[in-house]
Amino acid sequence: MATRIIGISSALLLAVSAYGMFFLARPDRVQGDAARIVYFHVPIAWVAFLAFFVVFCASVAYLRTSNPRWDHLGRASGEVGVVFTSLALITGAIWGYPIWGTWWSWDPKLTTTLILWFLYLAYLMVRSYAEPPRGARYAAILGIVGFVDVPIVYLSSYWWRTLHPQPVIGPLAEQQPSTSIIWVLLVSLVAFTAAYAFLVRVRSDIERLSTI
Amino acid sequence: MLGLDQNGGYVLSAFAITVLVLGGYALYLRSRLLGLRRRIQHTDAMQMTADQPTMTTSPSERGLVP
Repeated sequence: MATRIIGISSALLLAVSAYGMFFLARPDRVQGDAARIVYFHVPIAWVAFLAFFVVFCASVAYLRTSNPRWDHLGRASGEVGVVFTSLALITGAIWGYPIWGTWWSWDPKLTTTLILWFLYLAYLMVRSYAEPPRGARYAAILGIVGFVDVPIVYLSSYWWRTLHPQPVIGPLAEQQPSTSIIWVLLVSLVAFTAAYAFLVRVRSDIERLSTI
Repeated sequence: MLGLDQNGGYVLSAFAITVLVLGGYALYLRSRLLGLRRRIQHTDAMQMTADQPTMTTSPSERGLVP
C-alpha cells in the first residue's frame, strides 16, 4: 500500500515538475531552451549520488550485521543508481551537443561520472556472478570503496575548472540562481527522489521474494 | 506548441528518454514482482494440495481386506 502511494505521488510530482520546467521556467539568456535540460539532469545526478550513499550505508550495515535485509537494500539501490547514472550521462550528453558542440568530452566531471557508472556496474556484476554469501560480502566492500568516487564527481568541477559548469545550487554554487529556478529544481528533485524511493521499494520486494 | 527555440528538439528528446527509461524500468520491475507473487501463490497452492489426505474407495487401502 505504501509503495503504491509513493508510486502515485512520484508520478504526480514528476508531472508537476514537467509543467514547471516547460511552462514556468524561463529560457536562459545564453543557453536558450537547452538550459531546461538542467532541470532534470541535475536532480537525476543528485538522486544517483543518493542511491550510492544508500548502497554505502547498506554495505556497512551488512558487513557489521550480516542481515540479508541490508544486502537486499544495497542491491536494489545499486541497480536503481545505475539507471539514474545512465540517465545523467545521456541527458548530459544531449545538453552538451548544442552547448559545447560535442556529445562527449573527457572532462573531469564526465570522466569521473563514467568511472562511477562502471564501478556500480561492477558492483551489480559481482552480485550476479559470485556465490550468494561471498558475493554479497564482496559487493558490500565494492559498494563502500566505490562511494569514494561520489564526492570526487561532485567536487571535480570545483577542483579542475574545465568545460562542465560549476554547481548551480548548493554550498559550492558561485552565484545563487533566481527563486523561480530554485523552486522548479527543488520540485524536480523531490519528484525524482520519490521515483527513486518507489523503484527501490519494488526492487527490494523482488529481492526479498526471490530468496523465499 | 511549447514555443521552444532551435534547441527544443534536444530538450524534448532528453525528457522523452528520461520518461521512457524510468517508466520502462518501473513496468519491468512491476511485471517481475507480479510474476514472483504468482509463482509463490502457485507453489503454496501445490503444497497445500500435496499435504491434503487423499480419499480412497479401495477396500484393501481402507483396511477392510485382511
